[in-house]
Amino acid sequence: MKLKFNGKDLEVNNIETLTDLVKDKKLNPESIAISYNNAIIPRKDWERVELKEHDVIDIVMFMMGG
Amino acid sequence: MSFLDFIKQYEGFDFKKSFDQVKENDIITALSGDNLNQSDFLALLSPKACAYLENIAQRAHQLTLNYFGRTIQLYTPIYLANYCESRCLYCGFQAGNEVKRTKMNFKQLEKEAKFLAEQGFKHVLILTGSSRKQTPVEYIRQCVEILKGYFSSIAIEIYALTESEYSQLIKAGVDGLTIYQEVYDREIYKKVHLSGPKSDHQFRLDAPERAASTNIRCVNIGALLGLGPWRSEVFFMGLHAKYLQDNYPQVEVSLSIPRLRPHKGKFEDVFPVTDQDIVQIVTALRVFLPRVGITLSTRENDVFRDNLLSLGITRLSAGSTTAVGGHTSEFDEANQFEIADTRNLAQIKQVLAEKDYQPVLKDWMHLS
Amino acid sequence: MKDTLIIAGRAIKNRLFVGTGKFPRKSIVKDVLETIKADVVTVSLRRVDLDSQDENILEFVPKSSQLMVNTSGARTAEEAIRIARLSKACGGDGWIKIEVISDSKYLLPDNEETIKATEVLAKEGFKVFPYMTPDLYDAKRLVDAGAVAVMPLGSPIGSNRGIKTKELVQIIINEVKAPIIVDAGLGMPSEAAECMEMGCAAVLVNTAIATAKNQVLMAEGFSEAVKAGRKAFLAKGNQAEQIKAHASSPLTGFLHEK
Repeated sequence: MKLKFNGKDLEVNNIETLTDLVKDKKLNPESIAISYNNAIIPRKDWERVELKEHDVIDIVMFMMGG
Repeated sequence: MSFLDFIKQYEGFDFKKSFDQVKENDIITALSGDNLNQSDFLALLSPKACAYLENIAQRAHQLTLNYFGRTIQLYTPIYLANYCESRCLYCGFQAGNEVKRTKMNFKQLEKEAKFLAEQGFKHVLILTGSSRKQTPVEYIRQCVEILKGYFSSIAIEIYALTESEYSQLIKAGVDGLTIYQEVYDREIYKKVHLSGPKSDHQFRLDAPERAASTNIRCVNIGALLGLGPWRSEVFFMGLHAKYLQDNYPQVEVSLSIPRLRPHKGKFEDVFPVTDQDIVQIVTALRVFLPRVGITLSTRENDVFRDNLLSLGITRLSAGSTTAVGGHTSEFDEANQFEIADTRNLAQIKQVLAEKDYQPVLKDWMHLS
Repeated sequence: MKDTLIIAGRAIKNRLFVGTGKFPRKSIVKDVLETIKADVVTVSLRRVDLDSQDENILEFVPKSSQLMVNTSGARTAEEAIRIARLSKACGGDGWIKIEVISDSKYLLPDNEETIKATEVLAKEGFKVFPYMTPDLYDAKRLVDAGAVAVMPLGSPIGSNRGIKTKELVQIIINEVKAPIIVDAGLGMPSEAAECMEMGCAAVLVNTAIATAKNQVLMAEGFSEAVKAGRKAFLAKGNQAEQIKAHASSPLTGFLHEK
C-alpha cells in the first residue's frame, strides 16, 4: 500500500501495524516518536494501529541542534 | 498584595543605626549608578549625605534635564467644598475646627472654571474635605462633567474611594489622582487622625493602587513632612512610588513633598524639616526615581520654589488659593493652610522664562 | 561558595548551556560536553532519514546532562506545540526551548507565537524556556504564561556579534523575576562573561563553539568565562567614579545666603 512517510511517498508490502513498519525500516523504537495522521501515538499503542492506504506518518528522533 | 506588606517589614527597623553605618563609598555608589536600590536611597537620605548635597544636586539636575527637559507643568487647585467628617489634627478644615463650611453649587463652579480657563489654566486639581455626605461621589462626578468643558485635565484630591468609584470618575473624565498618605508611620497616623473615614491607614494607603488598577493615567502621592521623622517618611514615600511604578508601569507616578504650614488649630507636635532638608529630599528622590515627577505646591515661598526648580521639580501650582471658590472670591476666607507663594499665573510664567524653562499649561487632552 | 542555579527543580552547576547543532561530527559533541561537564544540552527533533542510519545523538550526550529539546523548525505556536509533544513521546522529560521563527532573513523569533505556545505547553507540564526578541513586556507575559526562565537573544542566531541587545536585556534582568538566559549571537567567551556580569542566570552558546577550529578548547574558554563573569557579578563592589569636588555650589549655594 501507499503511505506518506516523513513527507515522501512510500510503497510498503506485508506491513500491517506501526510496529511492523518500525521493524521493517530497522529503526530503534526506544529513540523515536511517531505521529500518525497528525496524532501522536504512544509506543505501547503502535501494535494496535492498523495501517491503511494514504496514511500520513511522521517518525522523528532527537538530532544535533540547539 | 499591598504596599502595607512593605511597611510592616520595616516596622521596628533601626533607621538611625542604618544611617550611622552609611559610608562615603555608599553615597558615591548611589550617585554613579543607574538602577538604585533601597540601600542606595537610604544612603542619599542619610545625615552623612548632607556633606555631598551639591554633588547630589548636580546629578539630580542632570537627570531632570534628561527625562523632563526644560519644561514645568502648571496647574491650579479648585476647592469644591470644605465639609469634613474626619478629625485630622494638622488640617485647617478638620471636623473638630470651627470653620465656615461651604460647598460650591454648579453655577459657582462654572463661574470659577470660566475665570481660571480665561487665565490660561488647562490642568486643574479639584479638592474636597472628607465628607461622603456633603460631597458624595455623584456630586464630584457632576462637577467633573462641568469642568470637562473648560479644562484638558482634571485630577482629584478627595477622600479615598473604592475601585468602582474611581472607575466612575475616570469614566466621567478624571485622569489624575492626588492622595497623600500624610504619614506612613502607623502609630503616628493613629495619633493624628483621631476619627472619621480618614483614620483608616490601610484604606488610604491602598487608594493609589486601586486607582492604578482601574487604569487612571496619573497618580500623585506624598507625605506631609513634619508629621513624622522626615528621613524614614521620605524613604517610605519613595518606595511607595517605586512600588506603584513597578507594578503599574502604565501609570504616570509623581510625588509631592508638602511641608506643614501655619494653619487654624493647635497642632504643634511637628518634626522639624529645614530648607536644606527639602533640598536633600528633592534631590535624593530625583536620583532614586529619575522618571517620577515631583510637584511643589504653594506651601513653599516664591524664592524657595524658584531655587528648587533646577533640582528636580517638574510641576508647580500657580494662582493658588485654598479657600472654597477662592479664585473668584465669593466666599469667606476659610483656608486649609496659609499660602506662601501668592504669585499669579502671569508672574510664574515670567519667572520660568527668566530661568529658561517652558511653562506647560496643557500637557494632553482627551480625544473622546 | 554555593551558587547553584536551580531551575524547574534541578540544580545546575555549569551555567554554560550548550547547543549541539552545526558540529562537523557527533564525536566532537561528545568531547565538548564531557570536557566541560555540561549540565544543560539542547537538541532538536527531526524526521528520521531512512537512507542513512543516524546514530542517536543521545549516545553522545552525557547521561548526567539535562536534555532541552528545541522546537526549531516551528513557524507557528501550533507547530512548536506539536514538536514539544512529540519530544515527550520520544522520551524527553519536558524541558523545551520554544523557538518559533518565520523570519528566514534574520531568524528573529516571533514573540507573539512564542507566548501562545508557552501558555499551552506550561499548562501541560512542560518546563518552558522561550527564546525571544528582548522586550520587557513580552518577557513579563512569558513568565505570566508559565515559562520557567526567559531566553532573550544577544544578537541574531549565528551572527556571533555578541550582546548587541545589552540595554534591553539589562532592563529585563532588572524587572523580571525569573532566570534570564541570553541565547544566540555570543561569539567569544568575553561576551559570555559580559552577560554573566550583567546578572544573567546562564547563557546558551552553540555556533561559536561548533564552528571553532578547536571546539573543545573554545568550549572550555566559554565555560571558564561564564564562571568568571558570575564571580564578578556576585562580588560586585563599588566601581563608582570618584565624586568631583565642587569649588562653588551653584545649585545649593542659595541655602547659605541670608
